[in-house]
Amino acid sequence: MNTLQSFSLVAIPPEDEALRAPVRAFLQSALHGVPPAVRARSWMGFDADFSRALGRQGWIGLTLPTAYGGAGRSSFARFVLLEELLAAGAPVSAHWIADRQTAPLILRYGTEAQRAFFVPRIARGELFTSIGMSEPDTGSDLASVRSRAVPTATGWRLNGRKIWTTNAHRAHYMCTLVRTSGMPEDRHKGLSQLLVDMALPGVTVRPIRDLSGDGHFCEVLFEDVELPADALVGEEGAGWQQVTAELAFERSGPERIYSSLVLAEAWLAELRQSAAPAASVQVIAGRIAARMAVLRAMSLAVAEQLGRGLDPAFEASLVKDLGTEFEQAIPGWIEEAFDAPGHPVPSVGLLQTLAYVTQLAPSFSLRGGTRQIMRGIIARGLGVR
Amino acid sequence: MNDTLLDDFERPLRELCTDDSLRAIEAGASTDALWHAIDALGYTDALVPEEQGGAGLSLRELFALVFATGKAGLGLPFGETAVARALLAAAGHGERHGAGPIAIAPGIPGDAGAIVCRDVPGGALAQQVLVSWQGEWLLLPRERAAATPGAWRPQASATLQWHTPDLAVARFDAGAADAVALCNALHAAGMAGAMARVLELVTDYARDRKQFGRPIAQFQAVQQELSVLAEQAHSATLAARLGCSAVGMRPDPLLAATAKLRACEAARSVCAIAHAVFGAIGITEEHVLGLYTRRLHEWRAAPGTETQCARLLGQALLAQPDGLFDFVRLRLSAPALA
Repeated sequence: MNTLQSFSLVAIPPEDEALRAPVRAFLQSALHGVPPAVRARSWMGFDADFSRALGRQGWIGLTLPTAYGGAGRSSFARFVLLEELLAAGAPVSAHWIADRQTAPLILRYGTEAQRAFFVPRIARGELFTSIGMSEPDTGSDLASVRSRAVPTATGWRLNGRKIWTTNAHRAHYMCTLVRTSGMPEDRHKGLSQLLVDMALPGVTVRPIRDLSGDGHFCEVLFEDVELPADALVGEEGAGWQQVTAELAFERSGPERIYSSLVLAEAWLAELRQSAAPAASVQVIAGRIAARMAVLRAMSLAVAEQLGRGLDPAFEASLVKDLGTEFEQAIPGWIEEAFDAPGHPVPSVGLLQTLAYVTQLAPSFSLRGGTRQIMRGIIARGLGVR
Repeated sequence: MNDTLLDDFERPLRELCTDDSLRAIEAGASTDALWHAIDALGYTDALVPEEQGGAGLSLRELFALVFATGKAGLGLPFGETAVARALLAAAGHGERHGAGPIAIAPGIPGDAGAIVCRDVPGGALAQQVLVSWQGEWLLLPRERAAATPGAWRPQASATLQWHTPDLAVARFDAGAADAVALCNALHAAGMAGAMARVLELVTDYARDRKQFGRPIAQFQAVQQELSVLAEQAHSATLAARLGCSAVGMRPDPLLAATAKLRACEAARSVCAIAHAVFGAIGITEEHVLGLYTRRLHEWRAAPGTETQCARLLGQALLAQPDGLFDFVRLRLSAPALA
């Protein structure tokens, strides 16, 4: 493997950069007066009205084809949009999963009828989805899922249990990974993806509160849920390959760098009030900026590769591990800065934001695959595994 | 970005920089023959305009070559020489074409009007040093300097002191030139190359070395360490690209600081992991690993250091009205190529 070729310097084309100003103007008005501790939730923040308003602007499904209600824009336009949403701390979690994962999945593997039904609704911000991958005994080891759908005369009968399913209690559909043939010992074989209408009889959702008091993770029970035949996405038994392709999109985006950005911005805004920050504080600010700059360049390089239809699984894993490490380091650095001589006394709002981010930070490296799993993928790319 | 240049340069470079020859140079052997061979490859005038006999490349394109010298373990200041020759040519001192290696360093005032250049990598092997000094570039002959051996590479690097700027054999207006920024960009590129080589050495070793009946690369704990090393090396490479992304020969000081800071952070982790994986053999004189980790540590200590770079960036960030995100986006991003 040639170290030189993995990441190249990429600049956002001017036509995509031009999207930034209207998005920023929209967000400034939509988020006016929202305190940082709320904005820091960003991609955990759920606001259906906000998502619909974003959909009206044409900013959900930005890269999806216009024939299905998308905007047909490039991966760079999407990068710009995501950056602005996350930098502003917009509540994106209502439409986020459908926009990022479900719609591209259905476009790639779904039937024409599935595309026509789901994608325009997703792009309008009217149809929200969740992703049912994990199960009580299945975290990163997705091949061991036990939820099972068996064929019936009219479609599928689904039984099983999913956990850590973000927003399952508010989503209209769940895209589940379940076993449709074989046994858990068959590992990657016999898994399929099914779209489950969450309003169907036999579906029970129980939100799990997190330690900051928010409820977004859920436990979901499927008891003899009768699904139509066209609930199946793609090929029966090909769920593993489909999910793997989906994850590359999930692992490298700006959302893997900016989770602590609202906190950093809130800190810097207060720091600017002091006349001459201590050298140690300048060093911390500089470290954050440099780390973010390099990660942003790496993330852009991966976006460019994804836009060209390549499969940068190695690079995406690298960005995710380094990106989440950075996000997790920020609260500690800022806390360290508070004690420097001459540092202004942090406001209550800033302390609340710090407390929130500090407590949620462990999740940054879990979502989308744990750090150790990412490193396993990197090791394979290095040829030592 | 012209990485195709790399192959034509990297292959002969690898042949010139054998483990034994690198070791001999660190021990004080003459570098004249090596330098003549490298000079003869024709890349030392890469940045000199074509009409003056060079290749007219930009710093952006030079990156790949400097990276290659770092990867090959070349202890002579190749990138510095290429930039210095271009600066000299631009100022009408192009007649120095063909002279020996030139180091670049910021000058700081010493006692009684002396100029001091601290911790110059390859400073003992350079024939001349291009020193930024009070708004000017001074080309100072190394043999006229009082030298203190470098802490990391006593035969190759040095702190140099000239008793007066009048010893300069050429001097010209520095304009916006900034020796620290140049060194940051070039050293980051060399460091990224050195880390790429360490990554190769370590992965090869982990595949070969057996413990408990199987190659240590098969142990998950070792795989995880190698992955972290790879992450750091890749990250430093892109950072160095960013530092060298100028379309001319002068790096943006903030991008150069970003590159050096990131390379330094990465080097600490890369050196620690590499030596841990190699075990005791890595810290023996007979093993080549130490040549690379020593270079990395020396570069880390050279101006500007990790902390100096971080502070420069922090000051710039706090001195402007935008937030962090806009600062990163507007000031710390690669310029688009026309």
